[in-house]
Amino acid sequence: MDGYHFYFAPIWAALPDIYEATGVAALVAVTSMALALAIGTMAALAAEYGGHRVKVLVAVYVEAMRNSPSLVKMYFIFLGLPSLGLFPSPFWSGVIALALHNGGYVTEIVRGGLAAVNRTEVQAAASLGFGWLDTQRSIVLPQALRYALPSLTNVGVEIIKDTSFTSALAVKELFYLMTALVSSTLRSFEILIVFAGIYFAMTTLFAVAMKLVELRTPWR
Amino acid sequence: MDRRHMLTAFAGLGAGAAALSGEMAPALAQAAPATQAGVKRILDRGKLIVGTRSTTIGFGFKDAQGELVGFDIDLAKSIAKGMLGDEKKIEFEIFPGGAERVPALTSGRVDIVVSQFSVFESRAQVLDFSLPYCNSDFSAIVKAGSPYKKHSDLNDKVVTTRQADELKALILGAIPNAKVEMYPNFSDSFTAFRQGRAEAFFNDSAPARYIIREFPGQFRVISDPDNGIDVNQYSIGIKQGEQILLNYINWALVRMRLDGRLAGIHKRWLESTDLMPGWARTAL
Amino acid sequence: MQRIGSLVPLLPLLVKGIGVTLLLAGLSIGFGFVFGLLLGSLYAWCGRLVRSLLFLLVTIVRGVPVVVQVFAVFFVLPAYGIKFSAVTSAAIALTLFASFTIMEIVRGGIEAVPRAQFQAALSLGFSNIGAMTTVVLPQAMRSMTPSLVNQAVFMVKATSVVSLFGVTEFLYVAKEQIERTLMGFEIMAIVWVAYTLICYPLTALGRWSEARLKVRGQTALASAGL
Repeated sequence: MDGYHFYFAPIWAALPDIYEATGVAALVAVTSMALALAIGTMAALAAEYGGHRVKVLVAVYVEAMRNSPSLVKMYFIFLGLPSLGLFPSPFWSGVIALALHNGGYVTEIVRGGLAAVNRTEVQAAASLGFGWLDTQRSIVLPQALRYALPSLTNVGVEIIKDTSFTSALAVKELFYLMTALVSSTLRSFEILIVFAGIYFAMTTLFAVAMKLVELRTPWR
Repeated sequence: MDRRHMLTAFAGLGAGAAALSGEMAPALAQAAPATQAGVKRILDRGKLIVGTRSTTIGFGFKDAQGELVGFDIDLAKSIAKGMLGDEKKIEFEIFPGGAERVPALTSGRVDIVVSQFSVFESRAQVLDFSLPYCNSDFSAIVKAGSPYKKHSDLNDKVVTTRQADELKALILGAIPNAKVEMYPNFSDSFTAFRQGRAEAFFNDSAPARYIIREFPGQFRVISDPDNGIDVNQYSIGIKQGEQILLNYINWALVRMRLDGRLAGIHKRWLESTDLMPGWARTAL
Repeated sequence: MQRIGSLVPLLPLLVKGIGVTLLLAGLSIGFGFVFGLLLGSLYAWCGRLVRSLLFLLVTIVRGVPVVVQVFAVFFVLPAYGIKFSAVTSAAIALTLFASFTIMEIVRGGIEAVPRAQFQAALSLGFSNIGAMTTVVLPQAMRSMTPSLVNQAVFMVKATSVVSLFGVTEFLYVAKEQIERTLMGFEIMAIVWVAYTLICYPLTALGRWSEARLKVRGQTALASAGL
């Protein structure tokens, strides 16, 4: 490694692999985001409208998720469940772990969003004959999620970055490819620049896209 | 106001200096190690820095007490004892998977690498290797009760090994339709195999012997001599160009063969001297 | 319960691993706080050029996964002849990450203090540095503390990342034991509970401090504790 000449050729040669790995990372991220949003929203609604016991359960869930790294959950699912006879694939172990972990944060965020929705609207809807589900679907949740959008974007960015953990489970995403390329080409500096750039592009594009969504939807 | 401008100026200077030193650092870093040839550097330092792994079962792994033990560990300690008089004058640099071995040598991070290091052509072009100290060939380990007798039986089955392009190429060369799942290191792939995620675990035959002994009755190695995968040998890796150190290591290995220490290490970990390399068997 | 019994000999090893985790977390939080304060003050204080540079660095540090940043310290620095042990490299990488994220917290805290405070201090004869340290920063700490505590929790969790590089912290040691004993479920459950026990007091502290030091205008969303 003397007198550093930048030598990107081995990386261009691996371009198809890079495309594929980026695709896998994106797939993991999007799937986890969708699941985390679903889990978090359901938990938030349950905590908001459920009884005391439900509130405690949700609180336990949130604390269990917030106070441990997502890697631990990944290993727990991937290495732990086989002892019970279940063999989750690397992809699903990673996705479910990320979804559960970030679902905890989403729960708190959506609760904050729900609290920001004007109570009078809910009462007005009830007086007009809206059922609970309809009220949530058409009046409360859209506003709550709109309030929560900036914080949810942050969670989304974290999820995109945390997809790199799934390399430990041999999911063939970006970081997995990164270490493989370094071992075969030894061009650690060039590889670092390219892959850090890809991650940076992914997080920035996502944040910008969410910002656009934020600006486009009507703000109460 | 003045202070603010001063700070901007200093920051600018600092950034400039950092950029310059970034340019110069490789040159500077080069200057330092070149003055100290291998053996002298180690003797002056007072300890031997050995690159190895803790994920190579039988060769470099952690025992129940969390101590780093294995064939390679014993071999490295023996070399340190010969060189510095005390087998404790050694420092192990532990690599997570295996890919780090070559860069660690070329950058001077470690003096030697003793870690199931097979001599492939691509490696030999950038490193020096000592005399081989153990024969080995890449082989498939399967559960004792499974029906696989030949390598071709593993076609279309999930098999696993450490993440490395060269290992995947070896497997696919012999078993074109195998589904190769690779994990960061041998330990991870062995665990996955034991959990039932793969039908076969590929490692070298030397650690395979250790595994068979450690887990009696659970595993066996597929013996398919007509369709062998790769015959190779383990050697000690040394940075290219350190001729004096290379000569010394080779001499140290010959000495170990003469006084029986090499055979002792083979017997301790592999329970036989079958895998001793050819030069160590012929009468000197 | 023979299986549970066989876990007991592992506990000393796991505890050693927790020690390394806490060491890495402590170092990165401690040094990260010092450097973060420095960087944050620099940002609030300096001209456009420095601010742009710092902003660029922070955006990169926050937009790139921590694994990649640790990778940079582990694999790229050696190319320049700089060699550190695994634990040291991990500490350096985590400290860098902490410094920049804390810098953002400090910056936010400083900007929350009304400018009038700074100007009043100057008019009273304080130097620039004096005004910062004696008047502005202590007030900034009020709003910074909950975020800082949350960041501390984040760093404890972030130490798990270095297990991917062979650093023998808690998660790595746990994995080693799983490889030996195949008791993935039991051991990972222990790890999960252990992390929760370590982090929960800090998280609770963060929430308590947030309630006590409530600055007007801070909504529940902003303090969701990312």
